Amino acid sequence: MGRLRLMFTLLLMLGLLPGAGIASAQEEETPEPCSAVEIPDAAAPPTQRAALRPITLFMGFIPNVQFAPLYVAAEKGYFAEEGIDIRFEYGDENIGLELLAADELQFAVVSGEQVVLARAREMPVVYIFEWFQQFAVGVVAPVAQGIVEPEDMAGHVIGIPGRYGASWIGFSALLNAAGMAEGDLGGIEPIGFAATEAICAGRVDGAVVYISNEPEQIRAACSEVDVIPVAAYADLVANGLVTNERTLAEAPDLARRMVRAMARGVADAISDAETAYALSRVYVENLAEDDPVQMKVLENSIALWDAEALGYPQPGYTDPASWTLTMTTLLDMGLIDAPLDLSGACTNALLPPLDEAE
Amino acid sequence: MTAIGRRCLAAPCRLWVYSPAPSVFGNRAGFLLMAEQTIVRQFVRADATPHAGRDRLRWARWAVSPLLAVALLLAWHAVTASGAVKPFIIPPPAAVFDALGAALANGSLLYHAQVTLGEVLIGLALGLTTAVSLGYLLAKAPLVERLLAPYIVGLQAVPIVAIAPLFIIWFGSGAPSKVITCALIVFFPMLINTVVGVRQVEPDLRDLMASLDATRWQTFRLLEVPAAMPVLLGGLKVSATLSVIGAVVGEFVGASAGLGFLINLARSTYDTPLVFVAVFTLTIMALSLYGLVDWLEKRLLSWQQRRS
Repeated sequence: MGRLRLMFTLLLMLGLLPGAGIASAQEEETPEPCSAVEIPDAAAPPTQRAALRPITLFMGFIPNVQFAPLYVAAEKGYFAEEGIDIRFEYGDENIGLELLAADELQFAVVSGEQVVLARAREMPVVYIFEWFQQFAVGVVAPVAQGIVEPEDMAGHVIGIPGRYGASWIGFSALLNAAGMAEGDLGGIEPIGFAATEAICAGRVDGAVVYISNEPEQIRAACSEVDVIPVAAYADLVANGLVTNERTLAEAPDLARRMVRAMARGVADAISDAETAYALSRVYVENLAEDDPVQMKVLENSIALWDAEALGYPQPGYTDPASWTLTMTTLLDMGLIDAPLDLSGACTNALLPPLDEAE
Repeated sequence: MTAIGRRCLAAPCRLWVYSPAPSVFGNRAGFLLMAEQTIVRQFVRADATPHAGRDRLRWARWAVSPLLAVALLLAWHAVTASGAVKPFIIPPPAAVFDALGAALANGSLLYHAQVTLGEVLIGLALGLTTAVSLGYLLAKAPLVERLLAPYIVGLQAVPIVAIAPLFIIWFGSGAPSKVITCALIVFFPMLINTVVGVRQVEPDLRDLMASLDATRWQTFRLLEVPAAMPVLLGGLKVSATLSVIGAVVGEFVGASAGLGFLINLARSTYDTPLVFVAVFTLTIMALSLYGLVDWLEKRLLSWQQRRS
């Protein structure tokens, strides 16, 4: 028996030790996210160009007050000052990222986890400015449902846009962080992007939404609500500015100028919400002059952009740890097959120096 | 008429084949002959191709499609192998075959295809039943048509993609919302074809049935249904193909299963080969439904071929 145990132990050591060795070697070899993006002449001073360069910025939604910083930067001429003739294009963020990867576009505003998914398919996209400092997805529920903590979702039917995209990934991360499984819920109902209607019609008890927007719509339509932000439990990479490797290699200055203009827009929107709202009306067709719901949406969004208030080093800073967590979440969900080297997926190297940003 | 009714069986041309002796029907025989000529003119396809030519055509029909498929496959491979197009935009055929193998092996493709096919078949049945019933009513009652036509055309003008999200709210995210989307999309072509099919029955033949004291049921069964059948089957071909689109539109908006969901899932993870697999599966589904109707058409309208 003792011999058998010895043999078993030896076999176990033979089997596990090399594996453990590989695992530890992988851990050692895996570079930190956002650490390996090389930016040529990163220290060079910005250059002004005489003629404006037309640049299309793709945004993964419809014209909305949540894009106020970009509208502010455009209307105040921050893009023009950087030599950029900015044009906005809206649509499905998957398409935007594919166009970016194919170098049909140079810049897009998309959700961070999309960059990880795209990099897993060898798409050469790079995240360069974390505009939303916190992941903007959360669970909203009418107060009567009593859903104020993730554990309160047990037994309740939760609506989701679908089993894909930022909302689904954020929701999975939330369940995971709370130690819950799908089976603990009363059910998951795909409701598309009709959370307000579904909640107000009583079809679902709660819904996964963008926390700056839908909670205000539901409050206005039918009920006071409670909101559980995913970011309070899992700090995933949020929406930000993304470019491609070719642009970074061939026109790093363009990327730097784009980031700078955007950072100024974010700063202005945070400091003066009313002006940001007014300037957004130029781009958002149906935005009324004084819509309190949309104003509240903007204020909620500002709370997610404010790096200083949220304790981040500077506006646009992306935390490598949030990339690792996002990747782990995607691995757990089976949306990517293996751990990725995210060192080239993102960078903080294009952010303006702190003194300049201030 | 009872005797003729029994003999007419399923197709109007059989009026001639089984036309009884003049002694039974007296001077109606000449009228029957005239009616037969009208029927033949209306239903029989001219087919004067000689045998050799027909053989060549048959060979071409069987050979050209596969050859075209092979040519397209080769062109696809050449484009992707040249590196002119990035694989996440158009994946190479080998990657799509790999994705197909994986989706078949883990059972996901079969599962999602079953879900979509179920929605398609129920939606098709619902849409066809409603469209044929209403279409017959409209064809027979012009007043009803005048009253309902604006609403029916208006319904058709509503973009399905715009109201599909509302169906999720009204009917839930399960199969009913997809079935209704599917039924709505097949409804209009079938309705129009039913109206046209019933209305195009030759007045002479209606007169003939009337002169033979045919009941409404006999006229419906022995004249209208066979006479309208070619047009109805034409509508069914269009509807069968559209029904797949209807189900997928519903699944795109909100679903947990089905090929539309699979496409959304694959799109969200930039898995373009899997998108291709799902799209090809949908294409095969639509082609199969079309082929089924085509086969049905050959069976039901075989009398046309025999007459020729």
